[in-house]
Amino acid sequence: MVRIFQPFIEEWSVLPGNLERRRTRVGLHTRSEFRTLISYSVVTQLEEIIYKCRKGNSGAQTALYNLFASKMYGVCLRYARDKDEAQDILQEGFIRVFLKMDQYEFKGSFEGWMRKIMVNAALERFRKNDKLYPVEEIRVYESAEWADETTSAIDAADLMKMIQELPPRYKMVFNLYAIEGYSHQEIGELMNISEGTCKSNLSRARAILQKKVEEQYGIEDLKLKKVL
Amino acid sequence: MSTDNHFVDKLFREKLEGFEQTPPATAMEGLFHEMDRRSKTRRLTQYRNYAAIAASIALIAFAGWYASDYSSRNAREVILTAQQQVKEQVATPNQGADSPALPQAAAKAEPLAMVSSHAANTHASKRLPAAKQASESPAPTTQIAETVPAGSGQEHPSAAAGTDKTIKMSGNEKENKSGNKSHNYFADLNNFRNENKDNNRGNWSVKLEVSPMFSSQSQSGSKATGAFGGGMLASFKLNDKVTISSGVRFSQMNQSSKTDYTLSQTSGIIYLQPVEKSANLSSDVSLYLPSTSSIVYSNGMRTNQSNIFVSELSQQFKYLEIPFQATYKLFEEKVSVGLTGGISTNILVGNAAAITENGIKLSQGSTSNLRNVLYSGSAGLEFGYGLGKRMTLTVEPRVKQYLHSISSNDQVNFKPIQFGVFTGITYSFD
Repeated sequence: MVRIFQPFIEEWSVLPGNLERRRTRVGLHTRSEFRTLISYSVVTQLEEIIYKCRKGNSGAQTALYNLFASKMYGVCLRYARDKDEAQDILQEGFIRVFLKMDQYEFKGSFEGWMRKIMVNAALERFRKNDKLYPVEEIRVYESAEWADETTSAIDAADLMKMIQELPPRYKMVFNLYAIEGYSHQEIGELMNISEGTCKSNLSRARAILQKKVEEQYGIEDLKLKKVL
Repeated sequence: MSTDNHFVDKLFREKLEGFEQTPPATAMEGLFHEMDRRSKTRRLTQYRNYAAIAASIALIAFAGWYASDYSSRNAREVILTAQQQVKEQVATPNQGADSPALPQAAAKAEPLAMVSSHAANTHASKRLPAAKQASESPAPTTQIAETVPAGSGQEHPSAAAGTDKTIKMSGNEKENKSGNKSHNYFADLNNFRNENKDNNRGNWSVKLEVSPMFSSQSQSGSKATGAFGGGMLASFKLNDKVTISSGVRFSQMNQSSKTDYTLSQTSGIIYLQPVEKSANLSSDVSLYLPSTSSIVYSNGMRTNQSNIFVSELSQQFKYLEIPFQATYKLFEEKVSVGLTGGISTNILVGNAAAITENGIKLSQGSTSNLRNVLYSGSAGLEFGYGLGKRMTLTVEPRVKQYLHSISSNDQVNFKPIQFGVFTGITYSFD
């Protein structure tokens, strides 16, 4: 927790008149005791920014953007086919965050709340642009788990590119299931598809990604940890 | 939540869950540009909605005015035709009793009696000067009987329903050369119209009103502070007695109370909690302390009492009210008295709370769990005083009772009663 005013509080030799009156009314015995109490009033920089954003303070909005843009852009990239689309989702997501700021009740992580809004923005974009894509012939690989030493060498940026190259529906299902942790039922409701379709899309997405990873990193059977 | 932990999922989750990448510099610029654009669009939409409401009220008012003016114009045309024809008759005295002009004029005047009796039905319907049977008339002096309709010998039902008040004609009677009395009927008609105009305001009217508001409080110990209400209503007169109105009103409720609070901290958030939990609105407030950059909440829970603040909590609620009310006139002369009553839909448009100490605002926030839409009933007395042909000054003491609690919190059951003495100006259309 960032206590913005803590240094000032520590330096006070005499409390300002207003606080001194308050101290006596409150019935605290010592000034230091009261200072400790006031220091509790100092909350995180983020909470202050949130309250200012609620009032439409553009400085606070910029600060909030600077705090979270990189993380949220990372989320948006997973749902987009390229950087331009990710930027559009990010923009839409942040507008919604600013508009819905009043709905955040300081319960749970703010980042998680923002992330959910970004995912919803991506979902809405997907729903608008959802088109039928031809189902490509996919060879379903045996389920083999890669060894840890192999996976540690894999670069996140490469994986991001692989996800972006997935057909939109597979990408959406894979992101929601594998990374966001939604269930098939929840995804089915969000995307207006059946659970069966969701499972099938996930399976195909996994197969495509597995193939891409193995091709790109030359993973051989020798490095397979186990075969299920 | 999914429980499956497939190795592909695991790899991507581990690598991408916390993935960060700085967005292009243009992204922020684009974001704020887009926000500006949407904000302008929202404002325009808002203005357009206000304009649409204003246009609707103006249209309704115009339609009312036009409908009532149409009757007046018809009556005017009838009078003018009658005048023209009688003038012609006077100019050609030889036609005498055989002339059809006079009965025609009388017949033309008949609808005027219908129109006028309809318009003047707030008081007595007045019998119009109309022609007696032409055969009885010693031409060219036009003796027009004071019964309607001419020639039939029967009174018009609407006229008969009145109090048989007749128009004085003494000032308009003349004696011609032959000693016969001549009567200036046109002057009579004009007099009649003018008299009617005084007493007959149109069916449609618009009223502007404002009042200080006094509200009941959610708990003992709290006091009401200055508030006001006011708005604009369009009214339609259904008949002599009953008028219905609707429009838009703004109303405000303020209350303040001295409450003991404690501070406590949970997960970096400072809570401001009333010492005594009570089923009132002041235990349901979220507050923010800008002076010390802290957030404080009250949630009605007793906590450590060592740090007790005695603070003045003020709460303010603003509502936009859409009333539908009826007025029953007990009597209506220069001064009128009526009973009013109705129901309203109240939409919450403002919710503010603040804590002050020694007149200094220490914190601000809002009351939680307020319902966005409320229904209320109202009753009152309306006193009116005519300021001219179209304007009326009204004073209306009115009581308003909210029909359900303004808070959705089960612990809070507060159905405020509001009282106001609304002073207003009513403008009636023709």
